[in-house]
Amino acid sequence: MSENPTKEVIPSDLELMLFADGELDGERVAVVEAFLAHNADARHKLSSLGLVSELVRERAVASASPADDIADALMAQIAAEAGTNGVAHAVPAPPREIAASAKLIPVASAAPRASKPANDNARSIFALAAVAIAAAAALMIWGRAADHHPEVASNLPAVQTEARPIVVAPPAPIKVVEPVADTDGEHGVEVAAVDFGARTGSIFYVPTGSAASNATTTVVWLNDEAAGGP
Amino acid sequence: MTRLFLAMTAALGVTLAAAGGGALADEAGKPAQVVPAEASVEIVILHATNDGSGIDPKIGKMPALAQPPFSSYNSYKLLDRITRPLAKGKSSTTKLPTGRDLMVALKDVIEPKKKDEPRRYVVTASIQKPDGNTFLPLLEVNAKPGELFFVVGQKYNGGTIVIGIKVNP
Repeated sequence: MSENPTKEVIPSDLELMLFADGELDGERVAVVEAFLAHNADARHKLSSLGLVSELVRERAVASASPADDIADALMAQIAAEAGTNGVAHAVPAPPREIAASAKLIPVASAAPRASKPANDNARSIFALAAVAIAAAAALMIWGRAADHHPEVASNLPAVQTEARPIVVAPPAPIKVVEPVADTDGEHGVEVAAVDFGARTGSIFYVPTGSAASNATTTVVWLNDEAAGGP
Repeated sequence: MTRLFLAMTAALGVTLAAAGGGALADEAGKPAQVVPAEASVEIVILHATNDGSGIDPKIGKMPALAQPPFSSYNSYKLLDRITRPLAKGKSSTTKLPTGRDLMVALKDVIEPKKKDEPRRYVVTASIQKPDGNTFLPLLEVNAKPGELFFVVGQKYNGGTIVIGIKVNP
């Protein structure tokens, strides 16, 4: 009627596996430990079980991505800081011997990813690409701009205009007439740059031909009032 | 994926650079055109007054004198007509009746973009006073050959000096 003492003393393979994984109940742990202390075969079996567990663990760790590590670490930190069980409760307690296997728990897939991406060098890649494209575009624009010779240089006076009929009483300050639209966009003589110095002056494109020809004569008229002598 | 992206970016950059550099290469690849380094400049010096004498026949055909702002004077007299060689990079100095010096220089000769267009001459002019100061520090024009342009405004004997400048090939 009593329980079989042999069964109580000799642990089953299942108990050995639970023992190896640290999941055996407390009172059976002492029994298994006592059995292992006197049974070399049992110790050999236990070591085999441990070896298999280790192999499985290593393969699982090797297949885990770094992103999982980061996400797991982040989630663990969040859980620790917030003191919440919102995520932590989904993580089973790690076995006694394989605490590192927490990496294998797919918590990261259920939790949001960290704000900083795992492949953070993507930004530098995009920046490098943008610089390369900008440099190429600038080179292309420069090449195109080199085709055009500047026909009008800087330092053009503000009084530059075109003149049709005007009434001016030189050398008094020159009246600037209404600009006339240039039909062909090109004069026989184009003023590229002018520096009147301390004086004032005007530039006129005086029509000298027929209306159809649009011929003009360029006149630069200075005010000699500030001359003060020869 | 990253390597593919980098490779595509590099290919795009090389393509764009080649396209931009092509324009440079085309320009640089043009055979050097022989541009005459010399021309001549014709300088006409007139005295504009309102003395009623009209336009000096020696001036020749100069229709602009009948147009504003020239028409504010009713008389034009030819004081001098000078033709000087004009070498690229060198200035030619002409003494004016006012005692000032007119300096004209050929800065550059621009070949036309189209065959039927004439080349253009980049000419600079300045007028120096005897005391070293400048009346006209700088005037730079881009002129077709044979086209006259004027610099007007120096007071002289109750009138004004009118300087006509024309570049001839």
